Amino acid sequence: MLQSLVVLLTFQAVGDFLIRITGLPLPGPVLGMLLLAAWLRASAFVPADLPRVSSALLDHLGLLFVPAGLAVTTLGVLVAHDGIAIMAALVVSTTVSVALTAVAFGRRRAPATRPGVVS
Amino acid sequence: MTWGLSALAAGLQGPLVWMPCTLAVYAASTSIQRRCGNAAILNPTLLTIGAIGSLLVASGTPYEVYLKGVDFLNYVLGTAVVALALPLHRHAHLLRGRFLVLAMALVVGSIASLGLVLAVAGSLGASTSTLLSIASKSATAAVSIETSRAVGGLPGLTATLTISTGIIGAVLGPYVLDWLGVRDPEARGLALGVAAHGIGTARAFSEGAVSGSFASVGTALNAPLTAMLVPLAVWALGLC
Repeated sequence: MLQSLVVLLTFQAVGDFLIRITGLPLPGPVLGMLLLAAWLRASAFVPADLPRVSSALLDHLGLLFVPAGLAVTTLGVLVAHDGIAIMAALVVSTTVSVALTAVAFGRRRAPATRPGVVS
Repeated sequence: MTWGLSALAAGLQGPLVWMPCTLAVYAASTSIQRRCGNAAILNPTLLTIGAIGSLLVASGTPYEVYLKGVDFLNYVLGTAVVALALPLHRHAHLLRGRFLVLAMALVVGSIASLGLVLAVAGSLGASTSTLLSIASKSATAAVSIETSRAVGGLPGLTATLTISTGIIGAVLGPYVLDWLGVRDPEARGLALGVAAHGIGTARAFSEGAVSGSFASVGTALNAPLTAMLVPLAVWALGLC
């Protein structure tokens, strides 16, 4: 538990640190995630319960957006002004993105046999 | 009675009340959604924002006071983003041998999402701060919020827009895919994951494990891609 937290918090801190010294416009935690993925791939020191601690965090991901989401209560005027533009933009871009991603991936019908994929 | 209410409102000005309050409301919202057949529209984050928001307004508690009580959750959000490396690593075997076609679909979907949201919102007269806040909406909320912060958007608005995106994608996405005749679970999952992040992934898992796994991969890969594309788009359009 403690070791897993040390790993996660260290990658979080390293991501933040590198963003600060390089000035990249990337979120620190995203860089931390990419570095941790590389670390896992290299199979370096990985605590046994890291998957368990990570799923505990990810299972309640929705809770963690609440503080940021509530800032919307301070943005009433902006939302009232841009409400229609926002709704239209979200619906159009999200549905078209679903369609184009699926079409670009190319296969419409599920093949009868698909070797090499564990389901 | 009046004294009682104002005393209650005064008590709510202390920051300590809000952490247990937020956790309890979120737990209740999760069980409400579960009891109503996992309806996408009853998203627990959205329900909690609505309930706590009403409480803040009713008690006259400023957002700053609330944030002081729950700021710890913002820190943990960063930790959770780092933890996304694990599902990405676990599903890495799905990429073997078809990384190119998958990467192409990912880039197409990500650019379409970003380009269209800016084009539609911009042409309907949305303000610059709205554009900066909406650009990253297809990335998983933790990343979209951080990306918005990085380019000078309003993270609070981005959080709400991102959750809305997930719900729109999870509710309308399957209809779009049916209409296009896309039956392959891999393509369906990937599309839902790229366009509608975690909420789309949850929906994809309800169609099956293959679909859900591809959605996880789509979500995990689109997060860093969006985090890199948004600053480029913002810079190219001269928004900041």
